[in-house]
Amino acid sequence: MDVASVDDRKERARAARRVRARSAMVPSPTNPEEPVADYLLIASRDPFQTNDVPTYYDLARSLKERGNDVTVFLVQNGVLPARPSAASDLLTALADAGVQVLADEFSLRERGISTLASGVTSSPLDVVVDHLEAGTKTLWS
Amino acid sequence: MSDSKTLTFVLMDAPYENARTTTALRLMHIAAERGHTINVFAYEGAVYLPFAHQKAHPNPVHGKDADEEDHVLPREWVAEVMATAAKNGGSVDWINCGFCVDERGAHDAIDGVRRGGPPNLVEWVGASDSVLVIPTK
Repeated sequence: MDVASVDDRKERARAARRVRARSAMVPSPTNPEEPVADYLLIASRDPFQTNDVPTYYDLARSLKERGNDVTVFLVQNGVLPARPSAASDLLTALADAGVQVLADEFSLRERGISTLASGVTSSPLDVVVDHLEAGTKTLWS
Repeated sequence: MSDSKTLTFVLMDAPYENARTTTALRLMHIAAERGHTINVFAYEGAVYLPFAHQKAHPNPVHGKDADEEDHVLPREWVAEVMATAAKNGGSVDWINCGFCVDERGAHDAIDGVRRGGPPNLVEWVGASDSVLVIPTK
């Protein structure tokens, strides 16, 4: 396992080719050179904790603006801005931009959040597995 | 099931440290209920998730013994995910990073866990329908 054999390296090269082939997708409507894809961005942190979170939301918005289908799934403390507050405006803006914004119902219950900001929908975690089944490009932050 | 998928999860968090572990196991359990082929590559502290010697303990602050405390043991959760997958026609192939195990002395894992390394992960990435990397902060 520790020292790759020639066969190991050949298999890795074949695996890399399979990944590249899978990445060949339809062109973007805004830029024919750029492929379009489905993205799922899982957000497990809250914007009160780190400024990485608004940047992550910006990534979702940018992907959407380039013609991709984008879902942001809030989980754990990532659901905290789903409660109407100053921080929830960021999520509402995302939804207005066409990004689907979902919040894990279990995480919401754990935190006693029952009222959601505009544009945010409660969802079971099963949705994430749905996306994985479909081969959606999935990120976690 | 005919539409079974191969899903790979990459875990880094040690047990009892972050809600990411709970969420990861919840996701795996859903995938197991659907009968998917599940690969798990655990590295760094995550190699302790299936550690065989995890032991429930009492909570003297609350005046509870070990049974009353009903302490969560991640190795039991991992075993439950494996059993659920098998029951539904799927499987769980759990690899603990060998170097990470050696560093931590985490050699004794529950049944169904094997030792491996990054080449296994590269192979899985090429062979999986999806890969979810759950990083630490």
